[in-house]
Amino acid sequence: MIKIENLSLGYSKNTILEKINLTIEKEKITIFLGQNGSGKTTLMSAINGLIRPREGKILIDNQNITQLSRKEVAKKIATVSQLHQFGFDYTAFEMVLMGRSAHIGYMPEKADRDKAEEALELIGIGHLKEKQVNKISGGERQLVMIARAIAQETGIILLDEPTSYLDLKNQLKVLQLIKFINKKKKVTCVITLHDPNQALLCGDHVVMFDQGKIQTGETRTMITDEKIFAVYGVKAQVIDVGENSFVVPNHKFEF
Amino acid sequence: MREFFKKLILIFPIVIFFVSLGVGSYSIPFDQMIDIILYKLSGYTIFNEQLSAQSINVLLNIRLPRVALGLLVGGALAVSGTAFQAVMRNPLVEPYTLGLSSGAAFGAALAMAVVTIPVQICAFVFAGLSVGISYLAASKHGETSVISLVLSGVVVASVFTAMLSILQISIDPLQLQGLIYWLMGSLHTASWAKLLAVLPYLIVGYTIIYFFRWKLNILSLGEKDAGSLGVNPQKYKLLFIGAATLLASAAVSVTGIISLVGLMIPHMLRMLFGPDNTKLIPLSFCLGASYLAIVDMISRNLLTYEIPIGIFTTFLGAPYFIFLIRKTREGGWN
Repeated sequence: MIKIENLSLGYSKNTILEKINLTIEKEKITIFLGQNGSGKTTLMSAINGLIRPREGKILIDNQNITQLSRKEVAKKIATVSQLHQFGFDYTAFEMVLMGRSAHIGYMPEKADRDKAEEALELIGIGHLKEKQVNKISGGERQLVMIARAIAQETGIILLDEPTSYLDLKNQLKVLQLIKFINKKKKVTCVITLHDPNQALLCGDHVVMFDQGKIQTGETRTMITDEKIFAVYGVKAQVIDVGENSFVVPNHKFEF
Repeated sequence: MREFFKKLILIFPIVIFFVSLGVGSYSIPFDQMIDIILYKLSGYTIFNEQLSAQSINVLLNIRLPRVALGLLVGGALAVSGTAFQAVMRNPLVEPYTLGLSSGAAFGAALAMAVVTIPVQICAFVFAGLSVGISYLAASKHGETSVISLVLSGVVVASVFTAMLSILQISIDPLQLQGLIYWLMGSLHTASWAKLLAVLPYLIVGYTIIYFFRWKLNILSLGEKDAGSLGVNPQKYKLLFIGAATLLASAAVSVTGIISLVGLMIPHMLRMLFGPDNTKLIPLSFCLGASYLAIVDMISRNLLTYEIPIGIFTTFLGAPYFIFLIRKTREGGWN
């Protein structure tokens, strides 16, 4: 469980989030929604211990994140960052093996290589093992990064806009995979997303970011016409079709 | 095929070592060479009953320290370049392009001409200073772009070259002649004393990089990724930059400026074996060592007089550097 108490975050003179309290439940999928620059990625970085809080604390399994070493944090939390190209062109296997870093002393051992192979097989990309990550498609690269997070063997995975830059098919593939890992490996997943429709598809809980404050609740109760307008300033309708719900913007272009 | 090349590169320095010992203006046949080494080690010979004093002197006091130093310096420069490129996530950096060589050369020259502290320590201090200035000048919000780091390296190198010029005009003419020849990058003054003086620094630098080489892979992904994967980026960056600086500055302190070895060798190896530093570090050492020993062999045998090896490595490395600048515009470099 992730517990955030009275937390304030910011860069130089700018305050991004102020005195927020939040509990992220174990083994659930929690989605961070909000406008660009609302503090979603900043909070994610703070949960991962990469940004020090101005005040307040973040407790991971009752341990203050700022008191843990980088290695201890990496044994608890894995991160899938936004899709990008890498300078050096590692193979998919080498990239996933790096997920074992926190468990490795000087050099990877056979057990680490086996775990990396297992992670690639688990998400069905064993055939990409020897391919260079910069030369595969964006969707495949994102799957490699998720496999790396699985190889890290943590109880929590943070995913920062994992569907950005992907086509519709690959967006759904990645979301389905996250759901699969969450159920199969009983991993707590925290995801920042731009599209509330994707949150409705895979989220258990939603945290809405708005002007330095947050609101939280179960996905369907949080994604409503009013809250979409309050957070994004966009008029929209949330429509229920069978078991699914959809956000349809009610917006006309004016020229 | 890759495995074959890998094994070939790993045994190459041993082959080059024996070939280099034999080749020169005074050639020593292989059987004599083996006998001289055996005689020195055990007092016995296999092929020859009598060995000439001249052959023994040339092999043991002139050629052996020179070849050994050439191999060690070549390996050190290549490993240093590989480590810098991974840590700074930049395929264009190496001791020369970072301005380190000029800084180390100034430090070493200062120690030789004026100060009474050991040459290697003085070279290391100024090499560290030059790398630090280049890196900090090119950094913005913790990120450094590929080209700005090279440009800041050019500026730092120019400053230290200017300081070196001041030093040159203020020392006596006899010292100046030796200094200028040394600065061109040469192994002609190699001796057991120089080899032993530099060996501890090379061993420390190489051992650190070799044992922690897996961490180089993690650092090469960037600070944020490295942190998320459990590696303290600041701590390990400092460790690797320190070790790579120690290797390169120690090399410069005994041979002068030998440029672009640390650029060519890692890049050639990455093309063959990929960017995994667990393989690249030992391979860089072996190929860098072989490369410099071959260049040294050519430099002392091509003409009747010796050409400083720094001239050769620059002529060979410069087109490669231009090729790399064009290549890095593609791919994931920023």
